[in-house]
Amino acid sequence: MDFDRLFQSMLRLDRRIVYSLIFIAVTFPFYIAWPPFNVEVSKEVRSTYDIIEAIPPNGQPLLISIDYDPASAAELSPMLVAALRHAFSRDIRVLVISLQTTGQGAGIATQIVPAVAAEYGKKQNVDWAFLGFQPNPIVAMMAMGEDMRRAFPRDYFDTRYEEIPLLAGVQNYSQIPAVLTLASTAVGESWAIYPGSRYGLTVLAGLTAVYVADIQPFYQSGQIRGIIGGLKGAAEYEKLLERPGDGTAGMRSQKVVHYTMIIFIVLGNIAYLWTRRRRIA
Amino acid sequence: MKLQIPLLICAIAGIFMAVQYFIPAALPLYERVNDYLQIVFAFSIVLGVASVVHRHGGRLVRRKKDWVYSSLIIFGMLLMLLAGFIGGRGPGTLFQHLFNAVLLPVQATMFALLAFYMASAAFRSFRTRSLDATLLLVAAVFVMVGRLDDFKSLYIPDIARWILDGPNLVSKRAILLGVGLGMASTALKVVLGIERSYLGSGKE
Amino acid sequence: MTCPAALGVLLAAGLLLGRPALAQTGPPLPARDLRVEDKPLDAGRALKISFRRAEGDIAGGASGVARYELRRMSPGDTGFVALRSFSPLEHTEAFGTDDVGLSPSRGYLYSVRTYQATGDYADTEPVGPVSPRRQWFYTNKVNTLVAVILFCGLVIAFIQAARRGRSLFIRRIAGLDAIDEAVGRCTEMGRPTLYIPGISTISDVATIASLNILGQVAKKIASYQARILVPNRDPIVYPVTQDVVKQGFLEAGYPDQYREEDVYYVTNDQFAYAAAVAGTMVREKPGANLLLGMFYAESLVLAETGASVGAIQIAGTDAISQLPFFVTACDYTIIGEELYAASSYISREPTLLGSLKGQDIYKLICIILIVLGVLAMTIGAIAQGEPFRWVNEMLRVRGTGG
Repeated sequence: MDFDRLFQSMLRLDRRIVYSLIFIAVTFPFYIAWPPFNVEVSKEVRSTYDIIEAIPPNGQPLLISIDYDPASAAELSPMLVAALRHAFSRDIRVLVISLQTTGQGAGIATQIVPAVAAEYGKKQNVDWAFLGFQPNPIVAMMAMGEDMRRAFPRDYFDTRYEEIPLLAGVQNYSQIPAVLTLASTAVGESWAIYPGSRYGLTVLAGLTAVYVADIQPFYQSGQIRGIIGGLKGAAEYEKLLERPGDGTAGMRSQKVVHYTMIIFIVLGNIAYLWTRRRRIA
Repeated sequence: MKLQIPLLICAIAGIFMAVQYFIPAALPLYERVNDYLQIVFAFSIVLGVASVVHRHGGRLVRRKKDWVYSSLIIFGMLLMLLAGFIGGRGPGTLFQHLFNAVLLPVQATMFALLAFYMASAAFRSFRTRSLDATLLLVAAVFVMVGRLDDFKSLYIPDIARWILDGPNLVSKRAILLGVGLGMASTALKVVLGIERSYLGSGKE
Repeated sequence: MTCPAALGVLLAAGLLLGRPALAQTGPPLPARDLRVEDKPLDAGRALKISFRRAEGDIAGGASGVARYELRRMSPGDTGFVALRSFSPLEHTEAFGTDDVGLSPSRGYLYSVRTYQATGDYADTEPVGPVSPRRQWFYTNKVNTLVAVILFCGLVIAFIQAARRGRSLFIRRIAGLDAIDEAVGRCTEMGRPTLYIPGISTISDVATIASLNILGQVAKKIASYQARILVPNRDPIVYPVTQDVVKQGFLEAGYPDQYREEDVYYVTNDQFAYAAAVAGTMVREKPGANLLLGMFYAESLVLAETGASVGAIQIAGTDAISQLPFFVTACDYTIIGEELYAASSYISREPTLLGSLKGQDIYKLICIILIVLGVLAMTIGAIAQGEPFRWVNEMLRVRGTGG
């Protein structure tokens, strides 16, 4: 076998072949229930779960901030659904806002939150409320620290703040046990830097996998008390809830793609070392 | 004067923002300024719409190259605007349906392209060219396998955990510190009027 | 022993033990130790209120108390108004809350009403009038203030030193040196240079740094009479880049070479912008791609597409999460604060160099403090008495509290 030619052509492999193989690797696990996978719950996800679990039912609401756009929805919406299911199953009230600057987070909220709330028979403005979006995240965060009405005088459906039963007695962060921010940008960090440090708000973060490494310093220092990272984080949370969802469904695919990429890397390096050795020789 | 006024506004605003951080009694004024910032920020969205209409409307009217795509942009923008204003934004409306059926999948698709680009970048670039490149390659493989919680008997997940919590965290903290100081220095230069690139040419 | 006698013994035992053997049945007792104090470190709009349970009411126990209600009388009010309620089922001996939204010039009276299940109630003696007070300095931020003054002082001192002619050294930054090479390559190949100033707003420091570099690059390209393409994502950055590029061509002496359609606004949407720029790369086939500024997830789309068309790529960002993608896909990467140093590096203007040196000296001070702090905590941990705990306390950055 002519290894020289084989490895040379591997080094010059057309991108389209790589893309096709990745496409197959991503899609076929959805049709064939293989390979088996295992999800171990990390300490970051466990912390998030425990903090939400400790919120008293029918009391002060959990604040969920949908700070991502549709591009990150595949990774972050499973986390949102899992967190909502957790809260509603424990009769924890939920207050939803969006600080995604172009308002697309609000669209995601109106798509997902009412649907999950309906699964548990939860009533809008009594068990959950959606206040809408604000385009400037940091300004909105700081305003809510003093008076939430300042940032959101009306909810997304134009109901006045005072007319929402869930918000009776909710003035600012003092009445919020924790915030779960779901973000694909630095907004997640901003929750820890601004309301977290200035008002002592407990910050939990659900982030895209690429951003988790960035936020680790904040978790280690205690500024962020829990992290749900990427699709795997969503799968871990679903495992704790004992209710598999989209996060768990994506794990097989993720496993196949990871190993496919590792095979690419290994083959590419074998080809590279072979051809380099031949050149030196 | 065209230059002095923006520089003065910048200096006053910058100094106020720095000073109010240390003065509790300045909080009401800070909140008022934040309210104004919200309005300014909202106007930038308006400016974005105006820019799109100006550019693509001009191409459409003058039948410049690729004017058909410009007409699609204008059509899409008008459709969403009218759907939102006439039908409302709540669940079950046309606006929400267009968002769920068009915008959401299109944006998710673009993000999904990253998987392909990542694979081709990994295949092309993760080569053992040097010690640095080899370390990068080995770390990437460990983290990719470790995140799947496989090969626990070989301690791969633990090694992946250590890579993320150890060297990764250390280097990120160091870069963060440098970036933070760089930001502070640039902000100080902007407030003092030394850095003027945000004004364009910075000249009269 | 007879039945009534046994009951009497039980009751006596209960009284002796200090706990009621039965639920509170007599008239309700008021809460105790109601205290109203100014909330520290605020703008004079809040008071801290605390009180203890009524005598006989046990934390989490069922003693007949239905709820405690905090009440306030403001100046001009004719009576007390209910503020909020506290449930006796909470597992705490004392209750506390902040009353916010007050005025610093007015005095407020407070009282706590204890309700029984029967509807009977008892009030504490009113406490007050108490006025919230404004504070004028966050005493828990002294360390931050010292750090800020030191930092500003160092930067300004070095700027002054540079203005007086002192020579200041900066190490070589390969990515910034390569810009010249990249622009030259484009000119030789007759292809345009594509400059992407990031996708963030004008308020982002990375964008400001990028605009600095753009000015220099535009001037160089103009002097070669070559072409530069600058697609923009932000509508406010767009007119700024237009002005910067136009000025660059003017300063190089070729104002007529400036093409307005080459500096354009694309869209505010992240991935639509990435798709548009990727399309530009494939159609225009630039000789060099300069990706300098703030980037998010679209960074790899741009970098890989640029690599596929064979352009030399120089990327620079302070977005730490995107650095790995740029490192793998680009020829040169400018990491973090090297981007901010770009304006000083390229122009070599003394004022800018001075600020860079001041920043570096401050970083050195931070490194020394970190090393000393780590040594102190390590010695403390080994000695198991933490004799250097005060180091940790001194360096901690505190918030103003919830």
